[in-house]
Amino acid sequence: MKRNNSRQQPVSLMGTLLSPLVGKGHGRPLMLVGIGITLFITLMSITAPFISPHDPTLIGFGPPDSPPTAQYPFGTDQYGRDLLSRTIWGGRFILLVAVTAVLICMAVGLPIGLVSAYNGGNLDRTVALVMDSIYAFPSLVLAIMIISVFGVSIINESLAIAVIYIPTYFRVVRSQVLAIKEMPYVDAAKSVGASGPAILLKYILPNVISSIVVIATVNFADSILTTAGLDFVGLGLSVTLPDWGIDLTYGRQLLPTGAWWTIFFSGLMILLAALGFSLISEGYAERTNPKLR
Amino acid sequence: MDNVTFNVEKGDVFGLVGESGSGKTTTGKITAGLLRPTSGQVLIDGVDLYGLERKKLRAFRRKMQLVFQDPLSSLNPKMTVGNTISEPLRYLSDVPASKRRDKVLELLERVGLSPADSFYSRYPHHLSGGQRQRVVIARAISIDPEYLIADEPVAMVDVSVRAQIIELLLKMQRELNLTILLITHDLAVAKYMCNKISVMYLGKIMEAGPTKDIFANPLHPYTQALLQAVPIPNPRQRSEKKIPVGEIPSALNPPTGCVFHPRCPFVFDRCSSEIPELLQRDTGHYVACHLYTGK
Amino acid sequence: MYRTGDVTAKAVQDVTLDLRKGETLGLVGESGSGKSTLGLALMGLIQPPGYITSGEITFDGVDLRNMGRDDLRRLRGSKIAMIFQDPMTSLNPVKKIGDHFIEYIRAHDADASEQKARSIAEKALADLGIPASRVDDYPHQFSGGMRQRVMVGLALALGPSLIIADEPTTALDVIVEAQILKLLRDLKAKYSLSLLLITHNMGIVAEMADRVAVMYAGKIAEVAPTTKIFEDPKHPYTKALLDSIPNIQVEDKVLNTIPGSPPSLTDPPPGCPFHPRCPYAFERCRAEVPESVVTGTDSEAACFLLEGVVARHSSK
Repeated sequence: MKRNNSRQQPVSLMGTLLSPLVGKGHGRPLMLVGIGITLFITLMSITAPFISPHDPTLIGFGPPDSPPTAQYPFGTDQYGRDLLSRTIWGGRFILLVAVTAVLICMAVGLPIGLVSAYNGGNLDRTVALVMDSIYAFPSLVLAIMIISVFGVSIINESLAIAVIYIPTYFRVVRSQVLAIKEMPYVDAAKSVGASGPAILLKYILPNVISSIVVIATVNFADSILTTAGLDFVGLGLSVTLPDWGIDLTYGRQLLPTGAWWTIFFSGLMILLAALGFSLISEGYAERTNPKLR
Repeated sequence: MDNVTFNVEKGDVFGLVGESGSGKTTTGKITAGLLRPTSGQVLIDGVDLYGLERKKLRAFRRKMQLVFQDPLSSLNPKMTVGNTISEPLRYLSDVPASKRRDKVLELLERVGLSPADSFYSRYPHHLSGGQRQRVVIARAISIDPEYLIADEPVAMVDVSVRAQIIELLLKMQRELNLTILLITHDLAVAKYMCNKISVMYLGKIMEAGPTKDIFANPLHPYTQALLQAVPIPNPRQRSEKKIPVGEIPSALNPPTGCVFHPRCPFVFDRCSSEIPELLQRDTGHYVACHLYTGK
Repeated sequence: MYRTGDVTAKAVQDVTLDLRKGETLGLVGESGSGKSTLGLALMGLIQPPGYITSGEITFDGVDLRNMGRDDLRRLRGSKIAMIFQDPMTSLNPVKKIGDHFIEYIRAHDADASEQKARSIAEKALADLGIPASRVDDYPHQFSGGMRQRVMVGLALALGPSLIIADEPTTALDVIVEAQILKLLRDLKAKYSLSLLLITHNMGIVAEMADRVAVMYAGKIAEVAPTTKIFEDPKHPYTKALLDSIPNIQVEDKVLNTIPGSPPSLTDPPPGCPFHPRCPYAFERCRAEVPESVVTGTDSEAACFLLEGVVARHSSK
């Protein structure tokens, strides 16, 4: 027995999500810049095999530790690998981990937050307590612990980061649901006969969704930094795989010798990636906030 | 709230009048099946509302609907007007999915939202306060209920639009033979719309009876104070008012005896120790005040 | 006007109003009528996204628009004071009531000793009917009505000559409302104040005001002495509004419903803002904006229906 309304659902959700993109106003330039940067980095990472001038893993390709020249515009690292190619390739792993992490977070944090907060009571309090405990843990330490135990792989890194952020999703969703739960239109829904699941899907979820976007984008930005951090500590994937975080590590070691290029380009990319997502988040938040008057 | 008893007859527009903290909204919610009373019963057509099991309760929900105070927050901001009004049809009626849109369009016309087509797909934030309240009313009457509980239906509507909503409610009442429980702090609205009134203060009924009687001959000192205090839109009626001192005490720590006694200009000994019962004074006119008990 | 993005809302347009010394002027209007904006403008409190685009605001012969920020600041409180609607959020929850007064007094007179300020505070509380012992209490220990009394007291603390009260009783219960209105009346008489009372409630202006100005969609619809406005309203909006309000003293009143809703300030109708809802509207109303026409002593209204009348009177 199909629900007639399911046709409406996607429309209103997408509409809600995308509406801040249109129309003038405050956060829009911010958001567009963020989208621009993010799009650029994403495209660059996806098309890496085609646009990268050289193979980024080739050791001894060029003279080691050479500064930017016409032949190697970004210079080379200590293994003689072309840094331009490494920079172009370097985002793939990080972005993949970030995307996976965010998806896992949403798939887990959102439903748990919704159901727990809506039902309330002792179960909700218990779940909140558990979440708060995870939240209280210093994030990088937690990630390192998880990776050390389960080993390094894309899925493990994604999971580790997801675990760090699920409490945040949960908290945000929960506080929104707690507020919305008291709204007269939810009372109205009950009095017209709507049941729990229907209320959650049609009345609560659509009103919570825009705050999720903000969290998701902040999450993205942060995952990038955390992944880079993990690489920095040496827990990144294979040493030969091009990765901004790894380049950052070695770049740091090279700094005393005056070789600025290794750390500079990788650091810049990490910064840009995080910035891109943050700007989207800032802009989106400003746009979806009920405006003045 | 304490010991609140009243009878509403079919076709009545019954007013629960009081200031904040009077318990009127809580009472309304209880009669609507949204809040379980700690003791007591809500009998609708002789059936105890809170004694029913789920299935039967659902059937009962079809009989009564609510109109809330704030038209903006009583509508899901992410649902179109059409979908909002369809909801009760979906859950509480037998109208098949294919016929729902037509029924909603008909309802929109009925509450004066014309052209119905264009209102169907709009969102609440595109509508004015008065229009939103009409949507709320349309939703409420969509399943042909018998009872309507209206909690401050015009308090948050623009002054020049209030008369429209008041008249709409009365029109629906006539056409559908509704029984309405009107909750309000606005005495003028209560007088206009209701045929019977209960005046509440701090969770208790102070006075109850036919509207005409209560306004023509207010017995309880609190009712008298209320009627005096209301600003009258007539500059020739300016007079020195006898205004009670102080404010409504906290419900967490109510006064002993008669809850109004600390502010009552006619207070005497008995008032602070004994709670006055709600007794009938004239036909249908009840009052809970020691000025009238034990005479 | 208020501007956000590419959307402009003209909150107040072409308003000419005068407030006389010692009178209570009732400024009546619904939400969106511009009455609150007008009140804020008089205090020099309009902030972006609001802008004052043109006009004069003259107080005691001085144009406030030409005043510097410091001068304006000094004016606020000592000459003109404002009382706002919501007493809950107008007071600082972590400051004692007495400290509110002291801070306020010292902001205007840095030399005032704490002693002096405190005694002014206690005297103010006495005026308000609040025991002096409560000067050390916090706002949450006061009820809503008492907090609003404190607001009134604060407004009067520096001895202003004009008080602007923006919906001072809207958030209060009926009986407390009566108390506050009485307080305003008494203090106004005691200190010979002028009062601009902004409200949407016709009952309040009937009780309190000497003259009434009715605003609609940012413009003045009608101004007249109170009795005249109620007994012989000239503007169709005023008439319609009075007929649509239930009155507990009138038996069997039939409410007149006004169709439509107040217009959007971002997309107002052309011509007279009331014409879409006016039972007497004709062609000209849609095309032109009516100017205010004198309709009697101290009275004026902006409606094309009246121009014929005036012409008849003046041709005698």
